[in-house]
Amino acid sequence: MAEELTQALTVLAERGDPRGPRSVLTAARRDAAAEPTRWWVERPAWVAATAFVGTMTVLGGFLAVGLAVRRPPGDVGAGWITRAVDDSAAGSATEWLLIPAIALVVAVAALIVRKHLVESRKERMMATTIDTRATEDQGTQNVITLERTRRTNHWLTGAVIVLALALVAMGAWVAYDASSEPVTAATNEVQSLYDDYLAAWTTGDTDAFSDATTEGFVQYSFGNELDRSVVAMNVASGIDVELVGDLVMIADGTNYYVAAVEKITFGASDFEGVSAYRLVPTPEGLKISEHTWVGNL
Amino acid sequence: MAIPDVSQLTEETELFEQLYGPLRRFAAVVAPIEEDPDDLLQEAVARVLRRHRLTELDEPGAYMRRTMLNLAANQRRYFARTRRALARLGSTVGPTSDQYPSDLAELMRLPPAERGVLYLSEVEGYRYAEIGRMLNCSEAAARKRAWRARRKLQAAMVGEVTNG
Repeated sequence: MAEELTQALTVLAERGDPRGPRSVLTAARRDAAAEPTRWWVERPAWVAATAFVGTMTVLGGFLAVGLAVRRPPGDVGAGWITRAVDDSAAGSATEWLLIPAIALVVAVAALIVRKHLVESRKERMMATTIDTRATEDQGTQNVITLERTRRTNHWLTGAVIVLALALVAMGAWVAYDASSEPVTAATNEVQSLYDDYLAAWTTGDTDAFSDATTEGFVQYSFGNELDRSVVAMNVASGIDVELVGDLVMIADGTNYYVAAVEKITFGASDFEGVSAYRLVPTPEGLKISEHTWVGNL
Repeated sequence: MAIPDVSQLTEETELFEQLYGPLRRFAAVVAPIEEDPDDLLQEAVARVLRRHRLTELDEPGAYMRRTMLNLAANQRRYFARTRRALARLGSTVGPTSDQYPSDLAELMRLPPAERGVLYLSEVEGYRYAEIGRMLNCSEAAARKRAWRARRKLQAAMVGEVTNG
């Protein structure tokens, strides 16, 4: 078989009539001069790599700035907002990663499907072209040359690149977010105090209510200002209070402000509303100094 | 790319004259049967010249072989599409591999890269390490391409014998 193969390859290598080096080189020089290099079209991988490096550099710059101006852990200042719930910030951010990830998968799938569609369309176009020309002149059917059609799907390719970059950016953000120092100590204390306060209402425990509030505690409800003793009587009547959704906390460096959607069960009726709490530091720890209720109870 | 002076062009022409024979034969092997080998070589040279002068390349022969392989792979897809389109119309245009002797027809069914490796190995007598350097692949990859090509050819021959 080896000899036959060598013979066949030699025959193949000698096929056609050589035009000669000068003719080929001259024509190649003419072609090269006629059509300038379009490296961004001919080298899409380089374009993608350049875009990636550029994006990562910008993201790296943002990250560096973020780290440079980061507040020290525990200094919960104005504008610092966090969700005082069990799931970490990174966990919630991870969910958002799904969006560009799914979009990327869809875009890649679309690219593949479209490639097949374009191939099929090209075949149909060629068939039509050949058919038309053949009808015009049956005798020249054997010398028909077909023009190559270049139909690069730039939009979808661009979309895939952008989505990939978005995914990387989201990943970087999640990594950054996960690496940040959580205000766990503060949020845990706030959460604990809030839980105690709710438990006091639900169980009707006025002592627990007193422990969770300051002496000057005030509750605002329907435009009324109720002092601690009046509210304690309400607490004693046993109102079941339940947190709906997440607790939101804002701190201004000294005080904490907590907002929560709550469901209140009073007798056989349910009511929903929003509570806003002001928590102040005392020698015994954080306590609630104000409670504003906005709801239909 | 800067405009070359006459001496550069002369040097380039001389270099291409030396390379032409082997490159033209390689082009004839890897190009689809519908494509003229000189056209493939011309397009490869034009692609190279858009970026560099031939004399600027460390290994112009290897560079152009790789370029021709890429172009031949593109053309193979293009002609395959054309044939499928023609098949729909129930007609044929131009030469196809089936119109050649069976051994050539089987060769032309191989991908250009596999044909190229076989040619460089069997006819030109290059070692796989050298072929790997020429075609920008590892020695193992070159060896595997040749093995795969031989296996396909053997399978085709067995098929021919079986079918009488």
